Amino acid sequence: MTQVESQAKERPLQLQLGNQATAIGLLDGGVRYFAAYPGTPSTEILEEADRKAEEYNAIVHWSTNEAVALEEAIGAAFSGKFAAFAAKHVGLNVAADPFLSISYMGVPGALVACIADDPGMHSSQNEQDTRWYARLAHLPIIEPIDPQTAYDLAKKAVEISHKFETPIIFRLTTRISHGLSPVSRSEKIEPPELEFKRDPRRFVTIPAYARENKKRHHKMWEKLSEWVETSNLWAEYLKGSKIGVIATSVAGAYSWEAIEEMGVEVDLLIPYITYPWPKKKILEFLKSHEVILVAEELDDILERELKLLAYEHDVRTKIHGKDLLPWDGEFDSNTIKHGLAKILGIDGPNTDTVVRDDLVIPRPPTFCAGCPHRATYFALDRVFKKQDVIYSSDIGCYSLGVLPPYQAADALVAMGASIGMGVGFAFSNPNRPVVALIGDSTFWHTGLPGLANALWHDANLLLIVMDNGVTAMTGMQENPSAIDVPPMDRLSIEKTAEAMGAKVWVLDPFEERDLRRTIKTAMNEPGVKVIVARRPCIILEGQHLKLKNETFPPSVDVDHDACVLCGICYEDMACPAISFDVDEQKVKVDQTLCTGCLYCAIICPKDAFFVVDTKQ
Amino acid sequence: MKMNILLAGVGGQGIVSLGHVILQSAMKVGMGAKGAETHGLSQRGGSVVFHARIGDFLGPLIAKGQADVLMSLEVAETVRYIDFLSSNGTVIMSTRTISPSILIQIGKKYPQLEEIYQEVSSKARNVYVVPTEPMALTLGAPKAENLILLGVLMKVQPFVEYEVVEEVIANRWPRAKEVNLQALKAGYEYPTTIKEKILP
Repeated sequence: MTQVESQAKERPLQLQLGNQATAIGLLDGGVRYFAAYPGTPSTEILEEADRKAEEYNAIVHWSTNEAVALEEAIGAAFSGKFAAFAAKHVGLNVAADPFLSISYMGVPGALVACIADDPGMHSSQNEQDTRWYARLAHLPIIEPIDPQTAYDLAKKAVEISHKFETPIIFRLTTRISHGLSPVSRSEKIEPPELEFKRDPRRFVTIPAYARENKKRHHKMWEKLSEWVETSNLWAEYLKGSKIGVIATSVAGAYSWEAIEEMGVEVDLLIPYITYPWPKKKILEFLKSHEVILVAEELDDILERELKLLAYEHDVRTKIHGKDLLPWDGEFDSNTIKHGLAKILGIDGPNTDTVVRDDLVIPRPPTFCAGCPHRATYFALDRVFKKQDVIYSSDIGCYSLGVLPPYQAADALVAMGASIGMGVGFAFSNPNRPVVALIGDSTFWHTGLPGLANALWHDANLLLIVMDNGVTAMTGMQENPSAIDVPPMDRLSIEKTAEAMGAKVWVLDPFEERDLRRTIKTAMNEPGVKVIVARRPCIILEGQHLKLKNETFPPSVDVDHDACVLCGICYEDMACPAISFDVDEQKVKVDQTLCTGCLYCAIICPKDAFFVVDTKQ
Repeated sequence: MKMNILLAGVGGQGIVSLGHVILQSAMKVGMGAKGAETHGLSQRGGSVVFHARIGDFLGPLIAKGQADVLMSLEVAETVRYIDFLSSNGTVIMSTRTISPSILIQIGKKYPQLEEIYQEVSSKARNVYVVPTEPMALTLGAPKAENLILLGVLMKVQPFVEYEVVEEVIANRWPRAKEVNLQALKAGYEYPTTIKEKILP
């Protein structure tokens, strides 16, 4: 399928995620320096690179946040190294400041910025379209359509970046990043041995130099645009039709499928480099069709550019796009079929089966059985009883605290925003308690400047750092204070906060009464208070046990004579392993889910939980 | 041959592993394989779905009305994705129920099982129901409910030779090889339709 130079060698095909294929493509293309902050759906790029770091002699760093990660990659690429940076779409916002200036300077090595968008918002707060960033930053953008093109084009991206000395955006989406397919690999390319050469007129972006650099960048762009014309970085399926589809990213794959399955005479063009795009090729396709459907998820970027091209060349082809296809959510082949059906005046796909909503139960993600966050929320709920407290929350597993029964999130906007917003809440609501909630990884990510600001302005704020010793939500990555970081390299949240001037308490959230008492004590103090609620993530615990060939400790069961069905365990604490059987009027423990953490035994007023060894 | 298999269940039930075994088995005999995984926060006890596509496909997602088979490791999850099933599709479902704790908070009850079975039967050509939980516990393999379900698929709608799947499973879990192959076999020998067991 792929028309990119994919001379599959005799290496065996392997089932790869798009993210893994991207990482391997970058490595095979010569990238030897990776930096990223984890974020779904981009995380597995760096994870895969990390697994292969030794084999390729590559430096692979999880950085404290996306700006820092990009800056690392810039330093490497300025030094002549082939470097890559990976982030989710909103992560690029954090790195936007350096990102929007590097095009002026370019890079003597190579720099591929792999950015994963999330149409459908599977695990994100918005649906921003990274392709705008290419226009904003004046950087080229490449868009694979599946894991195989991800591999091929990632290699190609490294080549283009080095050839034109420009950073390049490699744009993925959830369904490419987490799409799976067999991937064949081609030859490994060894990067040149380069090192940093001083050139302040290029790398120091004071206004006088920046003006020159912008002109230099413009010349590069002209050369790149010309090169793209003959790059063959597109795929086309022509049937000699008067109707054509121009599709990008995963919509290219769906368009191919839709046309095949509908059995209709429709031509298809999938550009892999979409900015600058192969203008002559696109124009030729435009001129040779009477009707064109632009199939792109999220915004109408290619549609606008195609309309502009049609205007410039006075082409009267009818151009459809967002008038027939959705602006929001993700596509599938039905999406394209519906759009094509309207153009062709035929029936769309049959999607008559309707889900009976009354039979569907909500099943949002929950805190795991044994999760330390649940204990912190349980204590907060007992202290504040959902009254006039304002919870300024943040991004991590603990975001789930917004759901019942805890409902302990009143605002959640962006990484690290809990503390900054908390200051605003505190000064705007002086008579109400304000609690900011942040995780360990987010504390280091963008919490620190917020804490400095809160201390500087002496805000009346309680900050709870929910430290589970790992960046858990994205799948157990390390951060500066993570448990798996060797002690000599590990940073201390409490010492940092103390050195900055905060009053700090550290305790285990499973010490339920202590935690409640400490929250109350802290609330009586003026200014910024920090409680570090520290207990390891239960998944991390499980992984550590597995390494030792061990499993979780014995689980618990209920002494039904002692239990008075007060509901504290199954309603207020809400462990997924504990449920109330309405028919039998009994509290039950799911032994396969229970991790034997014993938090239920800690909070049960009747001591009704007892340990049973079911794991034998 | 082309086959769309949608796998549904709850985070932690081994849906993604099951999807990988299916795709790797297809690859082993040179068939096309495409899949889409659920990652990130949704894995924490939430609803999980995996799209497994065998044959000449390019996109990762099965569109609604296109699944030849819907395999579900949890009863209520079956109805959530029933609109993906094609009009003559097959359902292979576990009798396992996992009640999310949020039901208590919002005062909702887990739906009546008969109603779910009726609903699923009315939208599928064939429905196979499998008591995966007791079967897995009997085998001493509480984590292998997913492979029991796969065994049923290999009996009622095989996409490769049984031995190919066995080989993939053996390679994937060398230490739990025996018990996992037993789970697959148990499913293979238990293809019971809903009409025989549950609905009159």
